[in-house]
Amino acid sequence: MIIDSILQSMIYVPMILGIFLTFRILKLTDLTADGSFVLGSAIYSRFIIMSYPYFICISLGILGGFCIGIFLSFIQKNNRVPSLVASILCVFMLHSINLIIMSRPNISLLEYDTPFSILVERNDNLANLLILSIVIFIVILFIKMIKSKFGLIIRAFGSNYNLTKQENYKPELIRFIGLGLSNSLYAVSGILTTHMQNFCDINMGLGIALIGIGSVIIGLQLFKVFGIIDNIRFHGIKESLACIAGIFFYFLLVNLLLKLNINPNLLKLVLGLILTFIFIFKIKGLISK
Amino acid sequence: MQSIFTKIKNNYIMFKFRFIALCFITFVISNILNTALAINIGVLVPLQHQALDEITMGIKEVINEYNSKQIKSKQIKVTVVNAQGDQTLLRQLIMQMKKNNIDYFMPIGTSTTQMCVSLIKNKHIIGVAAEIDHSQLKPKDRKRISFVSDKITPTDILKLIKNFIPKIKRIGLIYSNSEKIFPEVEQARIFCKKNNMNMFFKKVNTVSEIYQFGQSLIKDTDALLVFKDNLIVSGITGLVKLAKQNKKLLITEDDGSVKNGANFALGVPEKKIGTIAAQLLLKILKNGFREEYKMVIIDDISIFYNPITLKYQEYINQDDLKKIAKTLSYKIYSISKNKELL
Repeated sequence: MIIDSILQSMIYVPMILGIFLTFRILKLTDLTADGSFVLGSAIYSRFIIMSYPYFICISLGILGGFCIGIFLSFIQKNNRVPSLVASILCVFMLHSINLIIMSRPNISLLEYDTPFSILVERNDNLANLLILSIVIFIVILFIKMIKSKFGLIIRAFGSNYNLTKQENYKPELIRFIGLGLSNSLYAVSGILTTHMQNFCDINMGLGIALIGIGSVIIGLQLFKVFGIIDNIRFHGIKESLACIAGIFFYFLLVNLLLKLNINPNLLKLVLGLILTFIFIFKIKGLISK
Repeated sequence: MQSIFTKIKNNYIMFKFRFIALCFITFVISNILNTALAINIGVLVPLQHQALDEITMGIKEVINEYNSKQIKSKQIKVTVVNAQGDQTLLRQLIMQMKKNNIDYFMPIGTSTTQMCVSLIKNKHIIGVAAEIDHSQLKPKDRKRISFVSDKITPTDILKLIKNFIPKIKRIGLIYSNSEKIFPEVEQARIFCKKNNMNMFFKKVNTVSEIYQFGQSLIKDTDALLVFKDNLIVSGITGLVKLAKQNKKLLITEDDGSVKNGANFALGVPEKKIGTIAAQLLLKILKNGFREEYKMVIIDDISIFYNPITLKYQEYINQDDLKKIAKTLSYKIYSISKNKELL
């Protein structure tokens, strides 16, 4: 069950890191994960069926996510539109954009060969190992970025917008790059999901943002409970790992509930109650501190 | 005295613990044995929907009948799981079924079948109500994957309207983003253009938009048309109300909608799709995979009408529908909320 949870959660790790970047570091509310997740998948799938080279399809998918991030930052420029409103507007628009790109609600890639599908045919474990390696690579890059000077500047933007302005760090450029990066990460998760399931569906992003945000909160809370991180200092590596632990914990919990043969009609209720308990525990923890 | 009492209490706790442990072990062993001695079928339902429940019921009925006749052969155990419209959950359910040694998979719907085909590499899959062509599969997968689908196309229902209900001059089509519906809408568009039929198209994204869009559409049309669209059928009650208020026709492609108030439908009973899928499974179990099992199209089209709601409009009546059924050699059924298919 643990290995299953790792395999199922690893395709969402880039998305989780993107949410961590926007919520925890940039301190912006961004719900575009639902749309950008599908956008990455849609662009990748569409170019695959048009017989473009594999790596171009992936690059274009990631670039698509980056472009949405840029557009989002343009809407929010100088805080003229609240980030929540801007992201909701983007999600609406993305639904139509994704349909235009796909030209239909579902693209099947069952008959198309990609390096991943060829590996899967040879050995499932090799294919999973490939995805795991890609994800680990992305995590390492992300942590390096967070720990760099650029990461410090992004954190400064999130902590004090005016300070970044005073220090001549061009806050709007930081917003531009930060949101571009986070939406690219959502698109990467969409592409990895398409690799695994061999199709792209217009509804595949539904609820993704909620799962992501919930997992980030669960992971951070768990690490705080065990004293690995605290509310005072920012711990780049530990907090990133906390988010990854959060998504793993979410899938582990769902797998456990499925194994206990909980009626799927009640699954989300039970899951919600467990998570509510964790959040209440978090509030209690805050009060006690 | 106290030590005796404590001793009795400890013995009782130990006894209780051992009894519970024994029950648990017996339960686990019997489940394992049951699973090992049975053929395990996994039915994957993508979301909670009446039509999908009917399909599942059709599958279960055939399997139960088969099991009742088996004495020496293995029984078939059916596990039904519902993903509640969540593709992430669906993936986890498929992986769990894979671990639980399911022998045959029966996913319902196109995206469910696609996900199943991607994740399950060495078991037989029967895609039920899936709009996938067998030629889309890789050659090595073609011998383990079958599809069961109904043959009803948009042109069938539009031809019926054009040829037999001349009073209908303008048709309003409400549809959603479903992967099944998209090509059908295109077919309808092409047909209407070729045959000079006035059709107004309204796409909805959520259930809450159905009534609102229906309201604007019904004023300019004589009839509302709904294909076999899970989202729209979920909100059919709103359209039934609109049709009744405006004395217009509501035409669909599934018997469930007629039961809920649509005037009439042209289609295949949902339960029959499940029945045929289960019968195909039994054939595969008996004979192994054969070429004729790769694609089963159900062309047993029927007309379903609701005798109560049919009275609220003036475009067509029961007798007209019976004549149409006779002319086109379709079966005809009268159904309403309190009655089953007669």
